[in-house]
This record gives sequence, structure tokens and C-alpha cells, in this order.
Amino acid sequence: MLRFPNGQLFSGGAASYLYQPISENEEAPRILLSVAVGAFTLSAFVDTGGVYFLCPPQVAHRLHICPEDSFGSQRLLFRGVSHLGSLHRLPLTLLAHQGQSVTIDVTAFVPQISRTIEWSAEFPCILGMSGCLERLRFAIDPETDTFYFGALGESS
Amino acid sequence: MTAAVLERNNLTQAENARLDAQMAKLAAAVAAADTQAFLTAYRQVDWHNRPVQDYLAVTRMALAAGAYLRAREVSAQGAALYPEEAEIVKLAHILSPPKVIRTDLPAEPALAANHEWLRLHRQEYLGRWVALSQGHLLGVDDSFSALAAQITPCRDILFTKVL
Repeated sequence: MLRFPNGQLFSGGAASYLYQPISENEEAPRILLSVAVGAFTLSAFVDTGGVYFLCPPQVAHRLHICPEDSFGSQRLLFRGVSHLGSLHRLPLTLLAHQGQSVTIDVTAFVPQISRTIEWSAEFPCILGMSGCLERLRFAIDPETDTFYFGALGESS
Repeated sequence: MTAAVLERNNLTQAENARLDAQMAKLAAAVAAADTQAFLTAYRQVDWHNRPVQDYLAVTRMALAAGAYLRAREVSAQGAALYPEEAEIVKLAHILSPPKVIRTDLPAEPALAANHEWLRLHRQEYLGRWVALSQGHLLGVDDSFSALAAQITPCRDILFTKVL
């Protein structure tokens, strides 16, 4: 695991990641991690310029998200495009292959798919910064395709 | 009706018109999908005597304008002022900063094996959904829904589209 010079823990978990484009129409590779949401383990790519945890509707439908933690019919401006969808609060686990996995309570957005949406109906999950990754430390090692992560305040 | 709503009802016509004009500026920025204009208008909002409906409306407008941090801020302020109003309290909870709730979960060593399988078989299964466990293929289908109907999910099984 990674440590600060004083020995304090920087990250308690390390995850293998895939580094590749997420569609046939893209050339830019993304960091694809494995995350657990509800009963499912899924792929999700890191988008530090994005917000919230974006979850495809087909996946969200199977998660049986608690209605008390949901807010429907909300419009969200995402990368200059307005999407209608629903907001949720749900636990998401970043899965480590070494060390410890971390569960975060995050803001999730489930867009309604329409003809104008930039993704296909089954786009991968997206880990945005604000509302999702913002309370974690993380670093990558491109030589080994390893994503190091840990919660703020972890020290030993 | 809350005390603040009653207060707003007691405002003069001119004061109400001024508050409504501020809301209209925000709405115009949303309609134009102009985050910068929204933030400018937001900074000019007088929050004194605002009913809970205004906090809800501005939160929703902030999200629609891409002003995510303002949405978090105004919903939190609304929830603090109106703790008995379920809708603003729920929205503030949903938009509140993420919270780490567990750091003691064991690692999943098989993750790397699943990724290795995906590297090796990418061309063969490109565009299809696969279920993998410990580097072994458990199922394949054309959609997530069809695959999830075949295979009972659990932490050890990765459901992913081959990209």
C-alpha cells in the first residue's frame, strides 16, 4: 500500500484496472475499475471531470433502490447536454484486489435513455468526482495498471 | 404552512416582485444551459423570507444548470431551515458530500484475473455482455438485462460489457 513519508497510510486498497476506450467511437482510453452496487459487481470508469455515480437504467432497475433515497424526474446538465433522470443515494464499493475495499455512500444519477443521449442504452457506470470520489485519496501506477485508493483519515 | 411562507405572504407586492425577478433570472440561465449566468444570478439571490418551495426550485434549477455545488449548498440550507419538510430534507441528503461508510472489507484477489480475461478475449466478445468469476467465463449475452436474468449476481461475479 502507499504511505506518506511519515508512515501514515495514503491508500488502504489497490485495484487492478483496465485502460481502454469505452466505445468504438472513442480513442481516448479510460480507467475501468470494478465496483459493487447492490448485489452486482460491475465495471465503471473514472471521470474526474464528471459528477456523481452515473448508473445505466437497466442496471438501476435491478438494484431495487430504496424509494426513500430517490428523487425522480430531475434534469441534470452533464457535459453540456441536458438529461432527464432520477437522483439517488446509494452505497457503492470500490473493490480492491489487494488491501481493503472501501464502501462510500454516494449521489447517483440514473438518466432516462432518449434518442439524444450520447451513450448507448447500456453505457458503463461512471465514477464522477463531485458526489462520488471526492472523499477518497487515489493514485494510479500506469506501469502495473493499479489504482490505489483510501479513505481520508485512514492512518494505520 | 411554515412561518417563512407566511412571512413571504406578508411581503409587499414590490418585495415579492423583486424575489420573483431573481427566480426568473435563474430560470432564464437554466433555459439557456448557461452555468456561468446561473452562478451570477445565484450570487444575487436574496434568501431572506424564502419559502421552502424556493429552496427546492433553486436546487433543481442548479442541477439543471450544471451548478452541482450550489445545488448541494442550497438544498442543505433549505433542509436546515425547514427540517420538517420531507422533500427538501431528502434532496439535501441525496446531494450531501459522499461519506465513506466502510473501510474494513476484504480484498477480491480474483479481480485481476477477470481483467486479464478481458484483455485476452476482448476482440472475441467485443460489444457483448459477459459474466466472469475468477478469470472464467460464466455467461455471455447481448444485453445486461438478459445476462442478469440468467446468472444470479454475487460479489464474486463481474458483469461487464466487453468494450
